[in-house]
Amino acid sequence: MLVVPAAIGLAFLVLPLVALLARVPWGQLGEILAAPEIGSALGLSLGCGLAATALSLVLGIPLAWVLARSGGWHPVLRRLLRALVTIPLVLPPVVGGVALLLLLGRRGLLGQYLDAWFGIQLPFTTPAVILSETFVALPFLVLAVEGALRGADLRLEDAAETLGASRFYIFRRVTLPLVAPGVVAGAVLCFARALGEFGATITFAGNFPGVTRTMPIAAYLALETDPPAAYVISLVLLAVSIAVLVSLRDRWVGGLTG
Amino acid sequence: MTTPALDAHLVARRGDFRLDLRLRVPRHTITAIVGPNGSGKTTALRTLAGLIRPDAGHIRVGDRVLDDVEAGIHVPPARRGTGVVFQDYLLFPHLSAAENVAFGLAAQGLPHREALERARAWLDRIDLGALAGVRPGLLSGGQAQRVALARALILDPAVLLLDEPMAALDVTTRQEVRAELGSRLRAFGGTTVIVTHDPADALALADEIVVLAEGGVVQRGVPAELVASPVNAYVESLFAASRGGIA
Repeated sequence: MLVVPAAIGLAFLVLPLVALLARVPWGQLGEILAAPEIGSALGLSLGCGLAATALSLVLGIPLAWVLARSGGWHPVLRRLLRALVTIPLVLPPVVGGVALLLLLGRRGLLGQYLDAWFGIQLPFTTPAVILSETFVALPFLVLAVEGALRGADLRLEDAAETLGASRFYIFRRVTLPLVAPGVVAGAVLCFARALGEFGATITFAGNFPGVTRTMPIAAYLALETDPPAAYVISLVLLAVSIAVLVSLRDRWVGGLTG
Repeated sequence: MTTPALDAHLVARRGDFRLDLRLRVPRHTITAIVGPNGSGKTTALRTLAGLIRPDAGHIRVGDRVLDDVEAGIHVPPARRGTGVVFQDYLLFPHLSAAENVAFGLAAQGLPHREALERARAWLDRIDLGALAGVRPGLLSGGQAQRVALARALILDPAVLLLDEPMAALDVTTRQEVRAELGSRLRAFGGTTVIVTHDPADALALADEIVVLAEGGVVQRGVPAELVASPVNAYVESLFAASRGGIA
């Protein structure tokens, strides 16, 4: 009896993608991708996605390290820290965008000083795209790396210490290599999430061609003006998602034994 | 009697548990700390290695003070010059055998190439040259033990600590590996402390045995003494199998 709803559920997940593939103007694929607006959205998306991933690595690995080592802390503090890191996973991205605007906007909590002291205005710029994407994608990296750190045998750090290694040397030569698979998985997930970011980006960074109009935004807009272009952009984003899934198949789809 | 190379009074508390152990290990000798799980022997070893700060007491090696709680001295593990062979050996799984042996030299600033060369030469000397490029996962228990020992000894430690060196080995190879470890420790000739739950290890390897239970010393002495005149039934049962000279 469970087979019927299960089949409907699966169809519900797969059929929309089939519909997309059916409507993609395969013959014009190259032509549409070569169009300047699409090309610039694609380039912007890739660049910002990579920058957001890099920023997430720089900030997220130390954050994951602290989370993984918080075992000795007060349980309330530990849970609070974890909840704070997890918020962007469950928060509607638009809310993230509004919040970023209120922090870093021209009259925002920090933004007013950035403007007054340094003349820096972040909203509706390419850096704003990167920050929006980092905000929503960072937790993916932190949680993946933290999981890897928890699984690693930390007694190896003791062993390295008795061999005369400094804390930083141990981190670089022992800890980081041990969790490298987790870092790679986290970075891929983070990049995929950044690439698909829509709500926070359009709220905090807006929609300026070549500056903040990333692929998801371009796809949304094209749906009204140039549907085939929207289908092609969607196809590219779908291809990236599938590539992510394939690259992580052992880790996520194959379960823990992979 | 030579002056003790290692002179320690270890006091460590963990909740209700209290370790109180005096240890004097003369130069060039091997002392084994024998005790059941929960006797405090691993705490003692981790304290000697500097991984745990003692709550009271001191640790001196020669004239060098590594810990002195009253004076507020604690030398961190990286600067104690204490070599450790850990339980399960804890070889770095992502590095080859040679890179494992070279790790300490490189960590202390020797150029990577030079460290690797010295590590390879060391492995050659202990007949493991052929396995220099192999990851620890592919080594047998006995081979892993020798690599772990080489990794510690290449730094020329003043004191060598071994934590349950035989526990990771299967019974069939244990005797052979134990005999070989014994001869390597004799060749090292430094001050050595072995922590083990297995009295057979202690009898085969140590010059002096300290029997530890619930954080305190039950009896200490040379192996023959403990076998011949145990102070209580527990010590007697530990070494019962060895009566009649079968070690």
